[in-house]
Amino acid sequence: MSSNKIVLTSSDGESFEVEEVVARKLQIVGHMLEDDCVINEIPLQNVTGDILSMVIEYCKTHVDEEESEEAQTKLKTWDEEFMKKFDIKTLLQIILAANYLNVKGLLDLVSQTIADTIKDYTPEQIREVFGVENDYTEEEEAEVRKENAWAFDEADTPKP
Amino acid sequence: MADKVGNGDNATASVRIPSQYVDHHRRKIKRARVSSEDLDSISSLPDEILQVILAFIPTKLAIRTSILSRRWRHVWSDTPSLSFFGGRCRPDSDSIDKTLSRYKARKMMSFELRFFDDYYPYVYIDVSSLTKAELDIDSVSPERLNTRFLETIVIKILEKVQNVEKLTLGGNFLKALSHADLHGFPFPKFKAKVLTLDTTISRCVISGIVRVLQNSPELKKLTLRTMDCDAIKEENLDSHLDLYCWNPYLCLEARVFGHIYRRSAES
Repeated sequence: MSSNKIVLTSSDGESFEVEEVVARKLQIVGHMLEDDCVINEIPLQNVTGDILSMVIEYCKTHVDEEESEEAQTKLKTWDEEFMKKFDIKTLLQIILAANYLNVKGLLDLVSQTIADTIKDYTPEQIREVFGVENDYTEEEEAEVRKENAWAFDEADTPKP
Repeated sequence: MADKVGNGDNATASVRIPSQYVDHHRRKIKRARVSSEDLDSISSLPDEILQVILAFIPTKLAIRTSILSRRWRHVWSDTPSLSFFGGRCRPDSDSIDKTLSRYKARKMMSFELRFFDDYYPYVYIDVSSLTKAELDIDSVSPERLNTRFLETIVIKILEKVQNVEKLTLGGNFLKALSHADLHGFPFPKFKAKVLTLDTTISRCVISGIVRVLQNSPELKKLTLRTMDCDAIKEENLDSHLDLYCWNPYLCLEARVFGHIYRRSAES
């Protein structure tokens, strides 16, 4: 069963032939296979080829998750290196794809990576790095700050 | 937070119930979706992804994202996890009240709180859906560990976390538990499968630990995270525990825990 190959096709028509065990890491595929076990080509409309190839790379690496501490450490190091390869825009596309394809491990990994960035930045820096446009008026912004004043204490504001 | 990186075990989002997630997911597919080609800002991500992200940071910092833009104003309030551990500046009780009053997530999955003896936020929270909880007390002076505190707070909180699967208890909380044990307060039965103890082993915490273990028949994994610089090394842990007659394999009192198959020490 595990040697069975499945072809995944991206929104821009790129095809990837992967082993079924790898394809099943994409839970969206897993569900389709359960519904009808004779599919061997699956079109994935919401993800482009370049992003899908990265998701597949992740799934291939995580295909047999061993319990041993050594294997876990190795995977963790791989994850960290994998995340370093991408700029913010790509990370956002990967997180969207991970959510759509339902690859929980990858969704958590990218979320953690983005969360770590948010954690260390001031609101101004977050806006700049993640392309957020501030559409509050000054009064509104002051009101939002007041609403949760304790969260905006200066004491542990990240240094710009 | 650093130790949570890439560790699916600790990831709050991992407690999402699959069937719900799938329903949610299908609904999303029907709706016109953000296509990855025109994704140029984090603000274009759907709320549910932003909330997965925010669940990885302390609540205080998650709330700060409300200032980014109108889009972000209420995103934090539906995050399936609250954590009042992070940050040097801890919220006072009023702030926690206010935060909880704005908090909208129907099912909180994870709650981390360092609480104080004069404030008991647990009364505000419906914790029946909790699957992960982390508890500690900010500081414990002997005079604070009076029977009223133990009976009205510590034991009550324990009852609230009975159904939690991943339970983390801090050193001060364990000290309070040891006192509660000395005073003969009844401990609830826990359903915890994964128990983490953030403490050094000393006689102040041992009886609390033993009682928690005795009352956790479903325990599968026990992790001891020692915090002091003279922390016990892993190889010394067994002998250390033997010293206190608390080896799950040998100790009479703890023999029921023979199926604990793994324990580790992280310094």
